[in-house]
Amino acid sequence: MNTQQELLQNSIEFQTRIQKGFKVMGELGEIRVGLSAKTPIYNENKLVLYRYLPLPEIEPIGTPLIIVYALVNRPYIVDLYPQRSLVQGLLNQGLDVYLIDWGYPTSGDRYLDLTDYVDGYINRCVDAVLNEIGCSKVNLLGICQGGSMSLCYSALYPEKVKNLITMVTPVDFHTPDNLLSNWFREIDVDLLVDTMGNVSGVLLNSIFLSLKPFQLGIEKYLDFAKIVDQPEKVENFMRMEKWIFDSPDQAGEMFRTFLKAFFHENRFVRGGLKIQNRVVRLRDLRQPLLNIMAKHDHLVPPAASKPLKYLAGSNDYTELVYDTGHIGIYVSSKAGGDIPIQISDWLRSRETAN
Amino acid sequence: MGHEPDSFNICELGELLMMFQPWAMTDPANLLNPWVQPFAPKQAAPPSPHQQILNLFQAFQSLQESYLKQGSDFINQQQIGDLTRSFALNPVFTAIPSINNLMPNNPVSNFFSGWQPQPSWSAQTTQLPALGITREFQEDQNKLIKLHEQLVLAFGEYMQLFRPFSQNVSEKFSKILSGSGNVQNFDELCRKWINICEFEFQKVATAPEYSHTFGKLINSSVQLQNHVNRMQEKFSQLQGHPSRSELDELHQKNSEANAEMKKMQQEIEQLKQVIEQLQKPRSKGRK
Repeated sequence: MNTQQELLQNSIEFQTRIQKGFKVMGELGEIRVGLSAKTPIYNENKLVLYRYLPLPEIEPIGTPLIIVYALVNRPYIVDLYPQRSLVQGLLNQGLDVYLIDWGYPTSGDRYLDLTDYVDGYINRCVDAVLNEIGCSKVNLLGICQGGSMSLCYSALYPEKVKNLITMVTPVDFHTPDNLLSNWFREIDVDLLVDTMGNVSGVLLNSIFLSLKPFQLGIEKYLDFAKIVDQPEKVENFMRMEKWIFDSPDQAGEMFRTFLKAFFHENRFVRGGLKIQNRVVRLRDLRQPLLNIMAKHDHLVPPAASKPLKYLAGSNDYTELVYDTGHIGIYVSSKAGGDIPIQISDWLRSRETAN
Repeated sequence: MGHEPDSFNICELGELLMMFQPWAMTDPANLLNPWVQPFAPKQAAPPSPHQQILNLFQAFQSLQESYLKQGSDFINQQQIGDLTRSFALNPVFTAIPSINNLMPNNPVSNFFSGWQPQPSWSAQTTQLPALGITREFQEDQNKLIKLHEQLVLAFGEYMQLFRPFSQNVSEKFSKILSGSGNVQNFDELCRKWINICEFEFQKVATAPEYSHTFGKLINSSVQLQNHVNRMQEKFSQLQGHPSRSELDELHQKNSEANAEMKKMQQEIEQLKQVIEQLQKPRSKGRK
């Protein structure tokens, strides 16, 4: 350990930093996220479909790209702030970007299930974009749970999806390193949903944080104490904090059907998944597939995502693995800078096909 | 080597004299007598403000301890069982010796350490059949008590899983504290502790029995909540308030109606397109 004098010096520096940090935090004001300009083009119930306004100097070309995010968190993570924005990166590459904002379900949405989300909301959003642009197909970018829903949709409506991109998307929910899936395996989901109705976002968030309680609950704030006197870094940290703890409730029946179909029965692998009495088979996916994974993802380990290569019927399958975690894939500087370019290049090379 | 005689204590002599001359001691005039005063019963000096504060604190502490003991005795009677001897907080507080040393008599660990398995009045009463006009309520209450006990046992089982966690963290961290960890500063010490805890936690959380015990805990908690919901619903209905089941039924019908309406709208759009196609002027055919 340091000498007494060094310890004292460290302590003084720490206290000075914390004091300055209080001042910095007091002057922060409102934490603003999702700053890229967008306009709503379709809404239904709590859902809003946004179109991001193209950058003035870049005219978007090609097939529109719809981002389908998960239900468990808010989708503005893909546009957190200008320096960490997947959406900005895609707009910079000249893509026409849309985003489905699911909103905050209330008790009136308790009976929305997987069919309502996939065959209802996503299908109508796609139709809205097709009518808006006057084209016959869209590109889909599904993230996490949104990726699973995008896989279902693309298998049901291959005629509407030109290219499919999945990011940190679970396909095989029963891999040994999938801690979340192991924990959910023994939960009586029928009892849970019948008791709670909509499943609380706070509860789900607590479970996600408890996957790595010490790193996510303590170490993160130790790191924060080091930057607490730097206004820009504090603001970015607060943006992440806002997103992490901004967890909508999940519609009860959606939670029940999703958990049963995937976490319990692993239907992508075992087959037999039905949506609106139509069987969903991943081998019906014929469109080009780009599967992006995060190497250190503790929520969706790469092993849970890689089986897509063998389960999908597509002849054009591409994999990208980044050296980040589940959230770092869209907010880290390295991945965040490279991914939009990779996506854009991949889409452009397939633009004239089909 | 003999027994040393007790030293002569003039105060004891005074007390002896008091026995024979109590009147001399009680007469206020004698209190002023310098010959009597040393032997007079000493009136306690009024406590200083500092002492008064200490007395107040001690009174509060003894009151708190009596409440804790009452609570502990009450829970003893609930028959939680042997499992709770190694209940939640004991292993947690022994995991890090420094914390235990900082709080050697922390009231919470004392609270749990006093539990003993005893015959439970609740176990006996919940087994009795319900009688009379309130039998339904009695059955609900009995079930509530059983579900609560089930939850506490499930929680105890869950925390038992962390026994090796606390022991391993304690051992590894003790080595670091004893100087063998080569730590340069406090920040590094904290991070080492975090890494140790995270590593040991993952060992526990990835074990097969964890998912089973975790599931049991969640299910027990939800069962209890479910039963409470049912009891609340009965009370709501008795008071004429709309119940949760009625609202759920309305929401379900609304959701189905919306889905049906959307489907019809889609079919109407398709029909419109078909009609548009049919209404298009036909190309001129051969005569």
